[in-house]
Amino acid sequence: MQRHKNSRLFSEYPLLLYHSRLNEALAREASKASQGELESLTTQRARKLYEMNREVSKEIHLKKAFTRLSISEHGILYASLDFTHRIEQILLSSFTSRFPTFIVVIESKKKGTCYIGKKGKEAEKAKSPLSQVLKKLESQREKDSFLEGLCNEEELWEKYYGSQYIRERRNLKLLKKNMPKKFLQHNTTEQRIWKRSRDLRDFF
Amino acid sequence: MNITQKVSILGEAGKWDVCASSNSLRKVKTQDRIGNPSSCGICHSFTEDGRCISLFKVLMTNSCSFDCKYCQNSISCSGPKAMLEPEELAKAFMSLYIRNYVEGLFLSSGILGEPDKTTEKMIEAVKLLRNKYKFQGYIHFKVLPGTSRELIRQASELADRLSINIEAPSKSRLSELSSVKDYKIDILRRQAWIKNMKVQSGQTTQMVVGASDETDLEVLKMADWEYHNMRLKRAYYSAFTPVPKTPLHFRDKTPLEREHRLYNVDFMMRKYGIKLKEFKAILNEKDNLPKGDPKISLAKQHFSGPIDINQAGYDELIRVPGIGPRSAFRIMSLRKKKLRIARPSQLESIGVVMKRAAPFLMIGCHIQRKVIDFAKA
Repeated sequence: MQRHKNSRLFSEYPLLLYHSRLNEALAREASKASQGELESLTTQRARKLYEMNREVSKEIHLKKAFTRLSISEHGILYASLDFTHRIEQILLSSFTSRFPTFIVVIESKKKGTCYIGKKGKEAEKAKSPLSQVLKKLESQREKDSFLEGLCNEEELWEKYYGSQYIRERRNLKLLKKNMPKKFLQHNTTEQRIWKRSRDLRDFF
Repeated sequence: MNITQKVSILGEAGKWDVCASSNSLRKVKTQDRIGNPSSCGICHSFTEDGRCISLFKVLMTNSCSFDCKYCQNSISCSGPKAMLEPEELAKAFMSLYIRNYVEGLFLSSGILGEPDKTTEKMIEAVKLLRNKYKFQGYIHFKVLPGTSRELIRQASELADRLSINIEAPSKSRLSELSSVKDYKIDILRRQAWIKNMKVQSGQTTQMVVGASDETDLEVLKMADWEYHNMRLKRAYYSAFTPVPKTPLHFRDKTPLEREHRLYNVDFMMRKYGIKLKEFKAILNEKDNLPKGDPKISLAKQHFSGPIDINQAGYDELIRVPGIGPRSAFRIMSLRKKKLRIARPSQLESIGVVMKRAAPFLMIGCHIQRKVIDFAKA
């Protein structure tokens, strides 16, 4: 795949490289696509490549939006996630650049690997569970006094989220369209309804 | 009252402010900071009404000495009142931001006494975030009507975006809603000041649609004027909803479809470059937009018959329902390469919504119509 990395295809669709189904054979085949084909999307092959690029881009966007970070009192932000595509490092660098004074750890549940990000340094990989990685990192860092004054975010979020809803504009169809189902459980006050009901359909 | 209770009351009071945009191109250089603005907006959750939550949208206080008839925070309304201290606001916001619940802060307030006093408190909260908490993410600062120029200047240096709500399309319409606010001095003059200040994401405004008897034409005229004269980034429209215990509680709710149509036209004015005068042709006798999609009404007015997809210009293409600026651009770039569109499936690949576009198009001399069109004929 590395041979194709600099081809026109990947300059047009840079995120294709992170797609879980991209292999050597597909990359070779895809590299044959002409510039006109890629721009106009008029062939099935071009459309497919475009869709694949979008799938990766969509997952990155959703993960940036719906990942909730936990904080250890030593100034480590962490999350354990399921990834469809190979975007762990992209997500990590996004959080690292947002929170440069913290260490960010993202665990890929499927791979059982932790990605550790510190600003200005290359991401490290650790093939051990998140709890162990945290323990090790915490032993190297002192407690962060900045974090002591912060509120209990779950309660605060629940209240805040509940306050934003305008009853007169209730539109569950739109909610369903906008909010990915898998993220519903841990992002809204419908969490309570979720816990109570066995299926999301009960709520809708 | 603890912070959580205050946030609940003040979040509820601030939920009618519409702007959820959180994009800013501001570059952050320092590494000793928390947060950064994103060049594309990120929605972190959605409420049951389908709207996105990207910003921590609260008021400093919901006590207000103004008498806006549509507003639940006006002086005539009772109900729980609360006020956040700058430190409390900063703590609550950082607690959510650091865990990636929100993308930025949207700070507004009721006006308790003098607008300047309330604004000073809001600025203090923002300064606390920027200096003590080293927050470098997105901040939207709501300018209160009647705020002094110096305070607006200070806010412009701290925030990514400023906005002041004009609420109504004209002075006379606003006077029906509020006896305190002076349309020209308190609002438009402030907008003109903001226009000349360096604000990274510019300024926006909001109008309540249907609170007075204003027509769609009045609303759109004002929006158009604002885009041209105040360098407005966006105008937001909020369909009037009667709030219990307000003087306008008896008034009918404005249908959300009206708000939706206004956004459609607004979008076409801003992104497609279609002039307001073209929309005047499709207005009904009461100067309101007709029911249904304004783009379809406009296309029916504009085209006398189907157009040839391989010959129509960009300006014609973007007037076809189902074709947006991006797909119109793609069609034009194909034509430059001497590639002709021969089948509807090719247009679908480009991103054209054929269901909507088909009745207005001719592809390779074939008119794309459905059986239902013949039935109508």
